[in-house]
Amino acid sequence: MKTQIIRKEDYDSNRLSIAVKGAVMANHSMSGQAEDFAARVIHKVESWLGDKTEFTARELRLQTAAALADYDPDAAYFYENEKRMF
Amino acid sequence: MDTNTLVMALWLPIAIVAIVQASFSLSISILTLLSGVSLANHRAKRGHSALMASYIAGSMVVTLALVVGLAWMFKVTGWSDNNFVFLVLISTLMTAGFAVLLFYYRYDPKGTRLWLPRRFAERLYAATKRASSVDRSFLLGGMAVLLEIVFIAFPMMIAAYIASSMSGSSYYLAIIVYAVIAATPQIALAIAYSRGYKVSAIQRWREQNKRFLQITAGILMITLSIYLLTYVA
Repeated sequence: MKTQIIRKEDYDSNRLSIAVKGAVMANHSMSGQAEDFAARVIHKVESWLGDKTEFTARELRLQTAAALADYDPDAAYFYENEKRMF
Repeated sequence: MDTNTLVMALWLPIAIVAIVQASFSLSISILTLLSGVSLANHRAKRGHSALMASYIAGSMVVTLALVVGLAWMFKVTGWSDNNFVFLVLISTLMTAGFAVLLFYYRYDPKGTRLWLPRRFAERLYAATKRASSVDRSFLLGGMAVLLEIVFIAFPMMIAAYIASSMSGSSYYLAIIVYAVIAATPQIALAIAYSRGYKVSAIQRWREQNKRFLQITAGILMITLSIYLLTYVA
């Protein structure tokens, strides 16, 4: 049987917010708009989190991208795919 | 040699192998991510352009150094006039063309990815994220060329072999033409990103056409090797 290592870490809304802002600004948007979108996305993601005690990084990434797509589809695409460029 | 022979036997093959190198994706992927990271870090337009320019300079310097080094090796060893060496180079170019068609992208449930080992790709991603200064982006540009050497080496060797048979200004011109054509997509994208094109729009186009780019590079390599076998060797 293949043994897998699972790294656990606490959810950090600041870290997520920085990543979302980065994805929005990577598409030439202004920082104020990026902050506004990030705040809205964090709100949506946290309502999805609810009282979940565990979730995967991939689930969080997909939920964040889906929430961001409502405001900026290009940024959502970049956020979802930036780790798959190579 | 008359002009027609010069173009068909020397300049056309050099241009085609340069286009082959230009169609490889890794340098473009790193440039795209670098542009996104730079803009995300609130970098001013001028700083962003400097980062892009130093990345391209790194890529061109390493390309030039490799082609010059190979051409020098061919000249010193006397292989630049050896038809057998040229035949070996042509056959390796053809083999590399098939390798590009078969292995350049891997297809897995998480999507299409480059041939790079995953752990290596993750390190490259982290290195690109950290490249916030011009010197780091210069190194990253050079590293991008070296990382793809497995595929780039073969078109590069053909260019170096052909250039080594030239002398004087034609020799330098051939090497510069190769490096400029190989860097053309990077230059075009850097200008596009600096002028406000969205990183994700270009990345989406690349995602949708990566199969086409892979097939183009592979077929170009195979076709060029057949052409060289028929008309030049």
